[in-house]
Amino acid sequence: MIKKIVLILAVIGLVAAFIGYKMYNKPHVDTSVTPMMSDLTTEALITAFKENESEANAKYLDRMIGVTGKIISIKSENNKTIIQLDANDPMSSIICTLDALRDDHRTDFKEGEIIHMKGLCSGYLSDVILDRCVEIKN
Amino acid sequence: MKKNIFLTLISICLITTLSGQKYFTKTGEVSFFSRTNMENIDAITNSSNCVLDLATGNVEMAVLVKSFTFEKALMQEHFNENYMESTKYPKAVFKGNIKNIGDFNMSYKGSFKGTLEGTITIHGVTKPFDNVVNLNVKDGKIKADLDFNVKLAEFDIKVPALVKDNISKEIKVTVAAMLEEFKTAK
Repeated sequence: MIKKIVLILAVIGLVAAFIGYKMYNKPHVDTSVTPMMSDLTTEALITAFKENESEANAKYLDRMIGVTGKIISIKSENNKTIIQLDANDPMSSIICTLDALRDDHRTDFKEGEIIHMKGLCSGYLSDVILDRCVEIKN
Repeated sequence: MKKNIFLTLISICLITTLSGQKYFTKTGEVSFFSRTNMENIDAITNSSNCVLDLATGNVEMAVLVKSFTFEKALMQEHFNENYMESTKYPKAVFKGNIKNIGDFNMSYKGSFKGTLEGTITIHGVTKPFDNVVNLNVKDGKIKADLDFNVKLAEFDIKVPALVKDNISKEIKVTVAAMLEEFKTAK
């Protein structure tokens, strides 16, 4: 009888440990399959944050947002590609950091090109920041 | 007389260009590190803005808390939801001044030790902050580096008892920003 209880407890313990381990190591969300909450132009996204930052935060923060805009600069920092999209505003733009957990990004982005991106919105500094971006191929 | 007018014009031009000497970045790197016997945790972001005015020494820096990436998704989730409450407090901000900026210019050779003084706001709590920032001129840009320790308790960041041995009470923060000259025209 005692043996049985010990065995059951051991099994429960193992299952709990396994679940704990899985939770601890759970992967980051897969950006390519995460659906977009909204899909807008770069101007519309900047305007939303400029007009009412806290309202825009409540609406967009941490959500997958799609934007379409013209590339004004491309640079690389810490092996991450950062693409800046024009938002028809001299002070503000959309800064998209490509998802560093993926290696299937296109490498031939060009300044002046119009692209459609989606990324997780981290908020607004002087620009709206989208992290873990992936290109949406039409 | 003509010479005088000419000289005055030249000095006005010089003053306006000098006072407009602002250097900035939109992709400053901020990382932090927590070391305990149980585990080491680090996270990094390039989503920070920094502006330095060479004429006054004024510095402003803001970083988006949600943009920090961790190796483990669970840690990132806990960091945002439980410790930093980043939906409520999306930004960490420094505002201050480099007191000895008068001794620094764009032809400075070597590493300039700037005396940084101001306030830092993390998790909605504002504290006075002073530190040394290293400035290095490189190809017309200014590389600014500093590191400092943040005591979690000072900023009202609570760590549950269950994981208190896994997270250091003092977190080392490192900032590295490459500041470019600010031009208003696109």
